[in-house]
Amino acid sequence: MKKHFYHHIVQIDSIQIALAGLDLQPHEKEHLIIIAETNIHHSVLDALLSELSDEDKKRFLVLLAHEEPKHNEIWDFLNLKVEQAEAKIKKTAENLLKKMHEDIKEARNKK
Amino acid sequence: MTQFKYKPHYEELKDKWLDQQKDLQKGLLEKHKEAFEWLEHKSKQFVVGTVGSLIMFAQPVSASIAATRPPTPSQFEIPDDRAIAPETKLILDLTYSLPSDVQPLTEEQEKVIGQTLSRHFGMTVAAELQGKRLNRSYGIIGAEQHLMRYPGDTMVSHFDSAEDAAKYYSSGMAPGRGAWGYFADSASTMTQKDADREKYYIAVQTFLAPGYAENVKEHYEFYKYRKMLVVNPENGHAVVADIADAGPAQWTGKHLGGSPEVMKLLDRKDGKQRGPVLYFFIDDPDDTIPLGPIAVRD
Repeated sequence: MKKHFYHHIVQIDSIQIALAGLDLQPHEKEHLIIIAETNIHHSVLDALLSELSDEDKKRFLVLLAHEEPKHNEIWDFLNLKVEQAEAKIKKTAENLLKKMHEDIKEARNKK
Repeated sequence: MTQFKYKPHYEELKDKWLDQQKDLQKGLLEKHKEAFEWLEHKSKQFVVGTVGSLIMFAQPVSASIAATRPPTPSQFEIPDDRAIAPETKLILDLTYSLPSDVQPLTEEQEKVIGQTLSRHFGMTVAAELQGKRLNRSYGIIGAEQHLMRYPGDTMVSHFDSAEDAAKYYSSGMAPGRGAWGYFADSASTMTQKDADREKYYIAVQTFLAPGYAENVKEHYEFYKYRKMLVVNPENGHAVVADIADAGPAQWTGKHLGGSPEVMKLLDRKDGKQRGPVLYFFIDDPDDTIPLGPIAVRD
């Protein structure tokens, strides 16, 4: 699977495990994982873009839009431009993952 | 009493998370609208893209999941064909490497950009060759006039075809010769190579090159018809040009000049025919690279 530049600090294994406890078809589970990944990605993008100047936002998007994004270049850029970028990504993702776990728990308890 | 029926887990989570996704995307695009529009505009020159698809470029969707998944989880379609036009790849690479203002590049920037251009055009280019470098490698180009190729060359004799005459006649001919004199002794002895040297010439500020004053003769010989790759970083258009004149003067605010044909190929669109270009030496010791337009490689 193509990995994001933050794959080493944001893992959604816990969502996969939690979804395994629901009554889901394999394709339904995979679909939900894709949605979860997409939502995390958009949250992380928003969190990082919010820390950048207008000009740096463009440079960051160029790095991401590259056909084969170079993770080391992205991190070089983020470490230069965003204070504690790694911690901010982690916190953003964790907040969303926490909410997703609550949603899963709520769904499970309804049955 | 009616029993309340809960939605299946999948439906419930899917609806909830897709609503969340809609809000996230909306917020993301609205909050950083200018940056996304800028990127979309940059890519639109060569690629049919949307802001949505640009976001999706970074999506981690494996082929196996994509093949088995139910309908697209996003309001945006994930592009099936992610091929980016070669020119766009070049533009994006350069956008990352170039400073926001047109200014002299640092040696590190020149190194990176030299590698980028070498890769995209399939030739070895560099800002420095054989220990010689110009005053800059990124500057503002302006339009020059045609040069006399041999004694007696005029606007009437200058063009190969009526089509060329129609396109380039209005640029006129410089009153004097180029810095290296005539390209040929006469019309009868002029070769295609001579003609191309005038057609695709550039004028650079050799007089400002480091070390020029200390060894004029050596520099004069080095720069004569020296091939350079000239690239418009805004559209990816490029030309293999040769140095055949010195200029422009510093007070013009321009850093190099291009023949009418070079300017046309670079497709400067600002009406004033001036704008930023990259110009790097081509390492072509066996003279195998022809002068003229060159396209970005796939």
